[in-house]
Amino acid sequence: MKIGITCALLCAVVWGIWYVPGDLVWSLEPFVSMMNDIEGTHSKDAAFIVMALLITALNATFIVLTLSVWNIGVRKFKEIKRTIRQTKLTTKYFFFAAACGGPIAITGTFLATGFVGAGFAACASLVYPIIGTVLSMTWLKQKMTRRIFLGILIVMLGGLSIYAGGLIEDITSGNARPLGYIGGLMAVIGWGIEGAVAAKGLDVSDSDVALTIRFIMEVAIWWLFIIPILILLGFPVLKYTLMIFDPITLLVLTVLGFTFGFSYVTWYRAFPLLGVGMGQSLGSLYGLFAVVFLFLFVGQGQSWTLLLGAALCITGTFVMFTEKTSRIESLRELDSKEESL
Amino acid sequence: MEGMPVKFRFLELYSEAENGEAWNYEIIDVMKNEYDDFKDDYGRNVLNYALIEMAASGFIRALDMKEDVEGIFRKGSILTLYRITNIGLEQLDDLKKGLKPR
Repeated sequence: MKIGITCALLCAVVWGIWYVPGDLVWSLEPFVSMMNDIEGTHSKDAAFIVMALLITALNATFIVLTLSVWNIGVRKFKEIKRTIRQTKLTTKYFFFAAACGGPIAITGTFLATGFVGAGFAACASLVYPIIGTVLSMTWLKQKMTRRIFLGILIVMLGGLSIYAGGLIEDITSGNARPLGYIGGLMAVIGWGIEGAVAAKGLDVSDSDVALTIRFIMEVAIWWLFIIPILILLGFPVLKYTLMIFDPITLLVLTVLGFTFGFSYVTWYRAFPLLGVGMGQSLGSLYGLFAVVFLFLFVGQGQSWTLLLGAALCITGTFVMFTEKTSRIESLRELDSKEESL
Repeated sequence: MEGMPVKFRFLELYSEAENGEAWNYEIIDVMKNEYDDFKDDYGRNVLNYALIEMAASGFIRALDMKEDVEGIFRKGSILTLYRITNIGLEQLDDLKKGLKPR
């Protein structure tokens, strides 16, 4: 369990760092020119959405590059081949995880970043462990102790504070940005479902292998379906994709891929050891790190409702963290005759 | 069935073991003979980690533990006797249903 907690906490730190390049990328060329271009021919909202989609596709592509290097280091290519050969066994779960995690969750978080702000995007998705926990209990039959359930409730209150505070402020100021909040919700639902679906596949797969297959599938979804659809709709996505080879843009995209790739490596390693609910809740401490890193590197301050929400989420996480190890040695309820040592 | 993903093969080997029980070093030795990529110390540790994940998932359970004083597996490490659980057997049956013919 200690290994699982270490993995989940590492995930939180690196995921938090990811919001820094995730915020910076919106102000880089060729993305700014693409936004201006699309804004001129379509609308500002369309420009934001297309940009979020393209950045998410590039993010996934750079993650696959990072994971390729990682898999050379951990020598998992043969196991990837064995797992892919048995397509029916697990890859269906990774395809669904890819669809929920990429086009829904990561696009959602980029929309929330673009329309509201990186701090909101980071904190809004803190609520996703609720979805993951409910699915892990009902579908994966993973057990839940009272303390962990209490922790999850506190995280949920924190999430409500984050949403309600921002919404009230926006509505009273007449400056509501519904697409940003929809993006936040997409992240919550997408990541929540992804965790549970991936955990089902992880039961019988190696975590590095599972993750690599999941991201290869996400890249395929982007470059074989979504990006071609955008091109067919007349958006100049291809033209600007071919212009990303500027050293600064490439550097930011590489950092984006590296930080997200590594956070996913540790996230997927935590699931089989901690269960979806606890793994996601500890991982969701990234909200705290994101707020800190955004303040340190970008100078982005946050509202009090957001900080209160983040504090509640962190409190809830620590309530779960202090659960006795012996109570969750096995994630599933064994027969009474089968209790572990 | 050789050549399957490691966790699948572990479940299979435990289901075939006497009383569904085997020490981690015994079962890892069998795996090391079947899989070229897990023959060295690093491979051994990767396989042991997979067993720990499977125990956390509830597919196998720890029956006994002892310190490796003789260096059978890795001197000073914990040797664990696992037994496959009913959940593990159900999982294996599910996996076999979706198996691609070789």
